[in-house]
Order: sequence, then structure tokens, then C-alpha cells
Amino acid sequence: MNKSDFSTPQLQDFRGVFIIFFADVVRKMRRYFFAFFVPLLNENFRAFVFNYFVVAVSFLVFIAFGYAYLLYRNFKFQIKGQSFHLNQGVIKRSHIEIPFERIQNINLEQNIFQRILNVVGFQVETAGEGNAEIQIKALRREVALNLKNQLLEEVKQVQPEIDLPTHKQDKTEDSTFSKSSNTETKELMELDFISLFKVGISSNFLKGLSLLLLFISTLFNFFFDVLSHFLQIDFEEDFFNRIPETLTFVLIFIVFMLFLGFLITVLSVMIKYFGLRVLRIKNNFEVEYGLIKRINQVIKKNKTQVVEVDTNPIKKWLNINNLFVSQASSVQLSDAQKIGLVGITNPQISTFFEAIFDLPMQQDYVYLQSNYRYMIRLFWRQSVLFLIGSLIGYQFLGWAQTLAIALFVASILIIINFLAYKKSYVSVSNDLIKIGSGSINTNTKYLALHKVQSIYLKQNIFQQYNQHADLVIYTASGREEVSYLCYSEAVKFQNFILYKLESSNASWI
Amino acid sequence: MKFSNLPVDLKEIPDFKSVALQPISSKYKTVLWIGWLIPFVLLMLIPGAVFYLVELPVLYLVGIYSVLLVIFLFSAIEIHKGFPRRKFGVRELDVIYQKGFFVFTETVVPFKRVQHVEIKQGPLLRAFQLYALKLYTAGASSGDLVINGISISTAQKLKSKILQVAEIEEEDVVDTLQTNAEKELTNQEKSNPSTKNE
Repeated sequence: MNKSDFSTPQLQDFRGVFIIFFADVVRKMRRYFFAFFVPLLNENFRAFVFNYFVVAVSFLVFIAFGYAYLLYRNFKFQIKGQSFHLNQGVIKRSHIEIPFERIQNINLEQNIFQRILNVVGFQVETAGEGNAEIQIKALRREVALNLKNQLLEEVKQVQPEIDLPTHKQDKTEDSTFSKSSNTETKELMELDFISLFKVGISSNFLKGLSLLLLFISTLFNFFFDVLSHFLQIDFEEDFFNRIPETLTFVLIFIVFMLFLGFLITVLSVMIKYFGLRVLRIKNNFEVEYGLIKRINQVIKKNKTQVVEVDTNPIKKWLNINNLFVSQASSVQLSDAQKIGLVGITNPQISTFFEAIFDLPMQQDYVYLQSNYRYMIRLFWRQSVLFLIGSLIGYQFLGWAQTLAIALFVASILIIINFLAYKKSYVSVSNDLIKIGSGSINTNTKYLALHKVQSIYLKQNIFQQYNQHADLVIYTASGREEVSYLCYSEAVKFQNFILYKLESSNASWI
Repeated sequence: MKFSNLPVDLKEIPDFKSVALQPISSKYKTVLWIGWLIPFVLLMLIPGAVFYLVELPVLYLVGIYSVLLVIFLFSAIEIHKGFPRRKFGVRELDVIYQKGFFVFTETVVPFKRVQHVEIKQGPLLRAFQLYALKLYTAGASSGDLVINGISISTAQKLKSKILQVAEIEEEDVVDTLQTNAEKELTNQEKSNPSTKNE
């Protein structure tokens, strides 16, 4: 086994140049997506400027590659003294120094480019302060493991209490230690293809649909522009005059869209969570998933703030749940940033829950339900969109069809809002806070009482009048809100949470 | 609701509503007015200037100014009615801050969750010799608490009080961590001291 020496400044693997370059190209492609349509749009453009366009693009590509090379040359990392150092930047140079005691986590990951080139990405996470995270784009696997293990040894010396998984160094060592490690490392779950498929078909495909609609509406504008240019037809007039006749076509179109949205959601979920594997190492968990971008993340017991279980009627029928973990971070976590253990079964949830919270899942909770006024608030919020939609419908379809559609939409909204109100609550046990939400789906969030950072009650002018309040709880992973609680009861909850928090010695991380 | 199934008596739990809160400096109301009126007057000038330069129907101007007037009215009510509600209070272990007329909020931040404390002063506050106290907690910055418009002595008193408690807690945490670590070490010595494998 070759031990690399990290005490001198090190470069990444040379293949890093390509990784930086490709990542840059992908980012630019995304941003200037529309620029690529320009040559297609205009004949004049094609005839005269196309050659220049090609020259310009290739010139830019050349520059980007040169820049990637410079980035690579200037990216140096080393282990020196009591910290990990990183120098980077071509125009704006920066030096990052992370003391060992601030290192929380070390992740290895591979996206599609890194896979093709057979290198791994290396990330160092800190305790969630600022953006001092280190990302090394390309290292050979052996070097990455070596670096990880060397860093871990150092980290363990300063933070003996830390629980970080060490990767196996090589085969022989692995076999000698496999017996002792069996007691510590256990597999919590491994998602097979059928379960993955179940997760896919039971996910909320409205998300995929909205994505699709956005994409299509942008494309639509394009096509209208291009076609009306070539065909000399005023498309909009023609199209809208024929709407009543083409209602069947529209219906088929809608069904097709729904189907496509469903397909996109299923596929994207399946690609994202392909081969999900969760390993338990003492009370921490190592999660690995992804088809195109293989991600390896560690769920640390201390760093975990909120555990969220999401289910819906189809999932219940299939006997699966989605579980999302929010860890401490310096920014409000978006849904995409939470670590998802999808397709998890109930017994697996209990195991996970008990490991993370050190408590049995069955707890005595005291509940506080949202008031029915929450439902009315939801209606108010939807009313603007609803009115605009109705007016547009009235313009194009006439009042009879609009009324029918409006009644249909309204009844759906009534059901959804009623469910949302019924499922909204906050509850406390001796050690935990449980927050419920959802409409068709049912979402349950668990957080330890001592992980609350601050807590406030919010009353708008109507709530001041009718004596209700929204309860907002901040943790190190963001805010959680429960709407429309009875004010005097909400105050009691706030008092109880503060009392528990202030009389406990447990730390939030 | 009853907390009957919990082993804590509800009467034992201190109620943050019972704390007598202190108002912030009354000079801060002027700061609020000035800090809001200057940008607003500038904003009022823009549509007039545009109207002067470009021919536009008078109706547009009337529309824009009536919207601005409504905004002005609401903000004026917020400042005037909301100012008496800006109050803070300190308990043994946490700080309470409330504000707002249209949206009334009551925030409680426990001292031991405060990461660091900053006494700040912008140009407008400097003109009135007032200060702002900012309490940083872990996580997203929207969870931080700012108490605007207090005197320097109040700010410093608050700061030292908060830091004192926070530091004691910190030491406790370090102590518990150390004892935990020691425990773990002895445990590890008892069991097989081996590197953890995947």
C-alpha cells in the first residue's frame, strides 16, 4: 500500500482538469441554454454569422479549458500542523484552513464525469459555520481513501468522541478486522429494484408535472415564434378560434401530459435513489445512492436536527415510507438538501429512530391541533389564483364550462384544505417535539427538544383579534412552522419547550 | 390541553408572559420614521419625474400615487402603533423580544443557544447614539435575533449577561463531552481496540 505524503502541498489528479472543465461546460450550457437556439431560429443568422458563431464558441471552449488548467495548477491542499489547508483560485486567490477539531464529516462522491474518468470527489464538512467546506474535485480512489484515513486519525486525536466511519484500507486488513467490525457495522436497508420502483410510482408526480409544464411553456413560446415566422400565420388567433372544436384534442393532450409528468417523476426518483444503501456504524449511518451521480453521505447522530417521515395512501398500501434527515447547516435546508431514505419500512424506521434519538419510537405526546381557521387561511391564499384562473377560463370557454371546471377545482381544494387542517398539529413528549402536516400525504417531523435554537409566536392582525398564533421553531437546520394554534395553549407549549430546553444539559450538536 | 401525562407540573413551568418587559429607547421611533421616510420620498419622486419627461395619461399617475399612498398609510400605522410594542425582557436563562402591529411576534432565545453576540451601529443609529444588539444562533441567519434601538449601557449589560450564561453552559458541555470521551476511551480499551471498518 503506497502511503501518500500529504504534509507537502499536493495537486489533484491530472484528470481533475477535465472534471473542472466538464462541470464548467455543463453549468454554462444550463445558463446559456437558449443561446444554442439562436442559429436555428433565423435564416439570415445561419447564412452569415454561423461561421463566426462556431469560431466564437470554440474560442470560448478553448479559454474555458485553459482556465480549468490554471485552476488545477493553483489548487493545492496539504495537512500541516493542526489543520487541513487549501489554496485555490486563479484571479482571486484564497486560502482555507480547517482546524482538525472543526472537521465534522468527510465524504467521498462520484458524479458521472468522475465515474467515467475513474476518480472520486473529496469533501470535508465542518460544523455548519460559514461555507468553509472543502471540495476536491478529482483524486485517485486510493489517494482519496488514504487522505481520508490520515485526516480521520488526526481528527480522532483532537476529537476523541467523534464517530466517523473509516474506510477499509486494503483487502488483507479488511479481512483481519471483519469479525470485530461486524458487531459495529450493520446494514439498515438496501433498496432493491422492486422497492425502488414502488417508491417511484408512489411519489408525488405533481412535482414532475409542474417541471414539465414550465419546460413546455418556454418551448411553446419558441415554437410559436419560429412557426409564425416561417408559415406566415397568426397562430394565436387561429388556435384560439378553434378551441371549442379542439377540446377533445386538449383533453388528450392533458392526459398525455399527466402521463408524461408521471413518467418523468418515476424516472427521476428512480435515478436519484438507485441502489440506495444505508449502513449503520454504531449510532451513525452511512448512506449511498444515485445512478448518474453516486453520493455518499454520513448521517451523524449529533448533527441530526430533524427526522421527517413522509407517507401517502399509496405508500401505506405498498408498506413503504420516505424518511428525510436534516442536519445542522448554515443555511435553511431545501427539500433537495435533506438526506432521503426512501422506501423505508416501519421496522427500519423504528431502528433508525431509536439510534438517532436514543428513545423508543412510542412516546406519550400531548397534542395541540390547528384551528379550523387554518383552512380559511388556505382558501384566502388560493382565492387570487382561483379568480385569475376563472377569469381566463371565462374569456376563452364561456361561463358554463368555466363554472363546471371551477366547481370541480373548488371541490378538490375543499378536500385538500380540509385534510391540511386536520393533519396540522404540534405535540410534545418529555424529550421530543412532533409536528404534523400534509394534505394527501402525511408528513410527521420529529426533533429533540434540546435541539431547538429559538422559538417564537407570530400573530397577524386577524389572529390578534381571534386569539390564535402561529408557532415557529428554529433548529440548526432551519425553521418549522405550525399554523393557527389557540394562543393560550401555544404559549403553554412555548413555555414547556423553553423549560425543557433550559433545564437540559444536552448540546444541540 | 393538559400536561397531566408528563411528570412536570404545569405550574412549575415559568411563564414567559409574566415577565415585565422594558421598552426600547423612545428616540428609536424617530430613527424608524427617518429611515423609512427618506427612501419613500425618493420613491415618490420617481413617477413624477417620469411623468414630467414622458407623455403619459394622468390616470396612470393617479393610480401609482394612490398605491403609494396606501403603502404609506399602512407603514405609518405599523410604525406608530407598532412602536410601543417593541419591548424586550431578560430572564435568568433567556431573552424575550416582541414587536409588530400587523404581525405581532414574541421571540424567546435561550442564552445557551447563542453562538455569539454583536453590538452594532449603523449611520442612522449613530446619529441618535443608539445601538443594536444582534444574537447569532446556529443555523440559518433568519433565526438570529436583533434588538434595535437600545443605549450602549443596556447593550453591554445584556451582552455580558448573555455571554456569562452561554459560557457557563459551554464549559458544562465541554465537561460532559470530556467525560463522555473518557468513558468511551475506557470502553474502547475494554473491548477490542480496533479501527472501525466499513
